[in-house]
Amino acid sequence: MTARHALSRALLLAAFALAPAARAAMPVFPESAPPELFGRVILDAASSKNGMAPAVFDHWRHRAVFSCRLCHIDVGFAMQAGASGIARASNAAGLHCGACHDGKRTLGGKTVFAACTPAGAAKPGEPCARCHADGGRDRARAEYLALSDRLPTYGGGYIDWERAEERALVKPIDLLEGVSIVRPAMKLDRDVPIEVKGSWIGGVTFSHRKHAVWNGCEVCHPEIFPVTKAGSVRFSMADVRAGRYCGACHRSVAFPLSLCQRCHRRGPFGG
Amino acid sequence: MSAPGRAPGRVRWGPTLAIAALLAAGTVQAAEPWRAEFDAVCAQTQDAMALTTPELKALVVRCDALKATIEGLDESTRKVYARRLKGCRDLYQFVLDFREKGG
Repeated sequence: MTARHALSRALLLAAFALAPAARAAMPVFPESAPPELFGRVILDAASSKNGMAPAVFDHWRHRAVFSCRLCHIDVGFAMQAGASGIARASNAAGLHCGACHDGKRTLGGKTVFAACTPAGAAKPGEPCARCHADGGRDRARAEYLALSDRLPTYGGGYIDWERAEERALVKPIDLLEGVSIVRPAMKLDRDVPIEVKGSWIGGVTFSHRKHAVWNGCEVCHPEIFPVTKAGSVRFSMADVRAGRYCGACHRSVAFPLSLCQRCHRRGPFGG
Repeated sequence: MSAPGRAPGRVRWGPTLAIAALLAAGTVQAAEPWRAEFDAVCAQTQDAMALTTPELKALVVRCDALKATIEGLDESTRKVYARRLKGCRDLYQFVLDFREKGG
């Protein structure tokens, strides 16, 4: 074996040996669903078992009208799919979807359709099909564009909810009579520095104030961000991409992960 | 005895229904003291960081006491309010734990 061959073999072996570590250190580039499908939740805890199509919930349809706090604290929707226990009976009792979709409340001059009837569906079709059907991507796209055309958007067509509210283009309802508890505004506005390991991307400063505009403390603590022995949480972009930590919202309704510099002070390519 | 112009023996439904509605409303309110306690206990989550440690501990105790009542409600109400109560309770405990670890 020549010296050149030996060197080639050594380099090849080194490459194999270091491959897992190299993969672990690689940046995680998140993927996002197209805007009209971004944050879509398929609710099928009981529908299919009962001969109904699963209910399709689009965050963007509701995000334009309601605050995160209203649904995830006051109405009691869990942050994990399937954890709320939504059922026809609870909807018909004025809970879960039925807290708003009761056939009585009005919104923008229109009566909000009832989510479920106490007796259940006698036959497939309206009004059950308002939720228990996928109207198809073309319809979702058309309806999304009808909304996003009048709101500020990021690249890719994702709605910039923060700017939309700043410009008073959306005014999310934050209190539901008979459901919500009237609470004072959150007094904590401490920024939290999030140290980033690795030099290819800048650090993050988390603003409690910004996140509290639409959220309540218990949306994030302790379920998403618990107290740890070290006093601080350690997580990776792989965790976030998997829907944990920041990914609990930023993979669904808040701006998508692909907009790195909305959080990181310096982008992945030094921009 | 009957009101002038009213056929003898005819029931006056208006006052009867009004009284029944008032009684029903009273019954509902009396049957839901848990809701008033829930609203009171969970109304301070936004202020949790400003509460003293004894105040937070007292709220956790009240949440735990209320949990037993909520567990006895009908399934739909229980599902929603048990989750909501857990959110409040866990937040108060979170703040206590955070302080204990010197946050």
